[in-house]
Amino acid sequence: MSELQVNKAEINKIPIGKKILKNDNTYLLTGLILYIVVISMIAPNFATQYNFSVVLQQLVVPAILAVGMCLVMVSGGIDLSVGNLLSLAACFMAFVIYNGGSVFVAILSAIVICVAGNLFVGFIISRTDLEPFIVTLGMMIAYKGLALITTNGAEFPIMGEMGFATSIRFFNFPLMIFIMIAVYILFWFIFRYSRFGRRLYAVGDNPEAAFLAGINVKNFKLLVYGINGLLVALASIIMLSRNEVGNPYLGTGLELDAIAAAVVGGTALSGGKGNIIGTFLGAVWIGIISNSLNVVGVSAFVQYIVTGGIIIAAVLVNSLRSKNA
Amino acid sequence: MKRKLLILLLMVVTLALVVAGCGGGETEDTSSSNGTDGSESSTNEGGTDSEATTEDSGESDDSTEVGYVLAGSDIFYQKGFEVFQGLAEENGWEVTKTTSDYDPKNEINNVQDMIAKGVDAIVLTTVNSSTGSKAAAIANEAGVPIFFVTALPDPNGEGVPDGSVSGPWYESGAGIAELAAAEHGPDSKIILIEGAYGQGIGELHRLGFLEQLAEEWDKTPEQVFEENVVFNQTGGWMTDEANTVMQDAITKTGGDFDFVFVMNEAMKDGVLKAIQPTGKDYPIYTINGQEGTVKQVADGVIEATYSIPPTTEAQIAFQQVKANLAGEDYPVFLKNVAVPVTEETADSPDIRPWLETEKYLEMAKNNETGIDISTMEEAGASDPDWSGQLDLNGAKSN
Repeated sequence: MSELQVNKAEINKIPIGKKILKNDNTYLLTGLILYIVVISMIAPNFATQYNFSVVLQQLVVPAILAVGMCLVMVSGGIDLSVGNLLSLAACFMAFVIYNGGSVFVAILSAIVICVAGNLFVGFIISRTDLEPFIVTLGMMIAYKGLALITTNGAEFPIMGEMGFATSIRFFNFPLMIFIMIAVYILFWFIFRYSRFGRRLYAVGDNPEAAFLAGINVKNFKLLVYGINGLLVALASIIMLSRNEVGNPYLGTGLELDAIAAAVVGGTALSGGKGNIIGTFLGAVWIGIISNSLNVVGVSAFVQYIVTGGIIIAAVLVNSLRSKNA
Repeated sequence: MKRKLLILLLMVVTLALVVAGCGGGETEDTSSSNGTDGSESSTNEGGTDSEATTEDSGESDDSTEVGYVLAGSDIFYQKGFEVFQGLAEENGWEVTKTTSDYDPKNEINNVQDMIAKGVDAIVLTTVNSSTGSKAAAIANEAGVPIFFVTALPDPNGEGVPDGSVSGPWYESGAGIAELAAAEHGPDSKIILIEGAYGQGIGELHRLGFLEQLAEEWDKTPEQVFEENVVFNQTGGWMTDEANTVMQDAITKTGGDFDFVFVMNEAMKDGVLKAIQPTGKDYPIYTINGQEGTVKQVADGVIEATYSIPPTTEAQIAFQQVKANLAGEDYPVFLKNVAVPVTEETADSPDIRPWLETEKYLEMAKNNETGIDISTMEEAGASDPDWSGQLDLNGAKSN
C-alpha cells in the first residue's frame, strides 16, 4: 500500500463531524449565518426575497472576477488589472453598439480584448522575472488610459440594447445569477477533479518541483492568465448588461473586491492554496457587507471601517486555524 | 483551546463592529417636530402646507424615511445633504445617507439597497445621466418615488424621475460670458480651466460660455473657441490638478492671455496659486458663490463668480419630496437659483449661504430663503445638447 493510499485511508477514518470542523469554509459559513441572523434582527427588511435577489445581483460581477483571481493566486500570481480591463471591455462593447454594431460583435470584441490583454500579461509574467504585482499594476493604469481614449472621457449609453442578463429571469431571479452559479460549479469541478486543478496547486505550491515533475510551468501560467481574461470578459458582459452604459469607471475597485473575496475565502497570496467554495463564501461576505450596512442605515464612511475589520478578522481566523491544524 | 477561544472572540468582535457601526450611522430618528420648513408658510399655499406639515409631523411616528444617495464626497453634495437632512429632521423624517464614490455600479447598488430598506423616497445625485436613468427605472419599478438633485437623468432613458432640481450649468456659463464681455473685447485671449470631462457640467458651462460670447462679439461659438480660447484643459474640479494645469497654461501661452474662466472655486484656488508667482493680476471668473469667494470678489481679488448654492437646491428637492408624499401637485423639473456676483453686488441678499448650512437652516426657519417651488417654473426634462462639446475637451492643451 502506497503512502498516499495510507493517508487517504486515514482521512476516511476521521469522523464526519470532525471533518466539518476542520474545514476552513465551515467557519466562514457559520460567521456568515450569524451575521445574517444579527442583521435580520436589526433590520427586518434585510431578510426578504427582494433583498436576497439584490445581494446576489450585486455580487455576481465581483464573484466571477474572484474565480479568476483565485485561479491566478493559487498559481502563485496576482492580477491588479482586472477592474480596469473590465472597464475597457465594457466601454469598447458600448462603443460598438452605440455606433450601430451588433451585440454579438460587441461581445466577441470584449472576449478578444480581455483574453489578448491577459495573455499579454501572462506572457510577460511567465517569460520574465518581473513580479506579477508590478506588471498588472502597470497594465491597470494602461487599461484605464485605453478606456478613457475609447470613450473620450464620456459615456456610451446603450439603453435597451443589451439588458439580457437582468431582463431574462427564471423563478424571478435574473439570468446573471444563474451564470455565476454555473461558473462556480464548473470551476469547483476543475479545481477538485481535473488534471488542470492538480497542476494548478502544484505550480503555485512549488514551481520548481512542478517543472521537475514534467509540467511546462511557463505555458501553464500563460494559460491561467488566459482563462482569467475569459472570466473578465464574462464579467464585463454582465456588468454592461446590468448598467447599460459604457463608462471608463465601471470596473474601478473591482480588483480589490475580487482579491478580498479570494483572500477571505482562504486563498493564499503566496500561492498553492485556495478553493472555489471558500472564494464564493468570501464573495458573498464582501457583497453582503455593503448591502446589509446600507439596509441597516450605517454611515457610508463607517462602512469602510466595518468592511476592513471583517476582512482582517476573517483572514486572521483562517491564519490561526492553519497554525492550529 | 486558547486559539478556539480567540476565534470565538474574533467572531464576537466582528458582530460587535457591525452593531457599533449601526450606532454610528447617519440615520437619526427625530421624534420631535416643532415646525415646518419656514419658507413654505409664506407661500400661496401656506395654509395647505401648514396642514400638510402638521399631518406630516403626526405621521412621523410611522417614520417617513428618505434614502439619500450622494455621487461622491464633493462638498457641494455634502452641503446639500446637510440642508436636506436639517429640513427633514425638522419635519420628523429619517434620512439615510450613502455614497456611490462616483462609481456607476455603486449607484445602482445603493438605489437597490434603499428600496430593500423600504424607504418612502429616494434623493439621488447621479454619477452620470445614463446611470441615473437606470436607477430611476429601478425605483419606478419598485414604486418608490425618486428625486434627482444637481444633475438630470437621461431624458431618453427608461426611468422617469418624480422630481428634479438641476444646476443652471448652461445659464451660469452664459452669465459669466456676459460679465466677461462687458470688460473684454472680441480679440481677448481666454484660458478655460474646466471641470471633469464627460459629466456634462463642464461641457454645459463651456457651451453656454461660448454661445453667449459669440452673441456678444458677433461671432460663431466655433470662432470664439478657435480664435479666442488659447488654452483649455480639465482641472478635474480639484485645486491641485487645476494648479498644475494653470501652470501648464502659463508656460504654453507665455503669460499672454487676458482672462481666465475657471469652472469652480476649488479649482480657482489652484489657479490663483499658479498665477501668484507671475506677479500679474489676471481677471478670474468662476462659479459657485461660496462665502470666501464672494469676499474675494468684494475685495477685487476675483473678477466675478456665479452663486449656485447647494443649500437652495436641497430645499427645492425637500419641498418636492414633501409635496409628493403629501399627494400634492408640484413642478417636477426645476432649476436651482443662479445669482451673478460682482464687486457691486457682492453684498446682495440674493446671495444665499453656501457653506454655512446652519445659517441657511435658520433662514429657512424664518422664511428668509425665498425658495418656494409653487412659484417656480418648470425647466424641462433636459439640458441643451452638449454632445458636440466632447470634441473640444482638452483640444487647446497641446
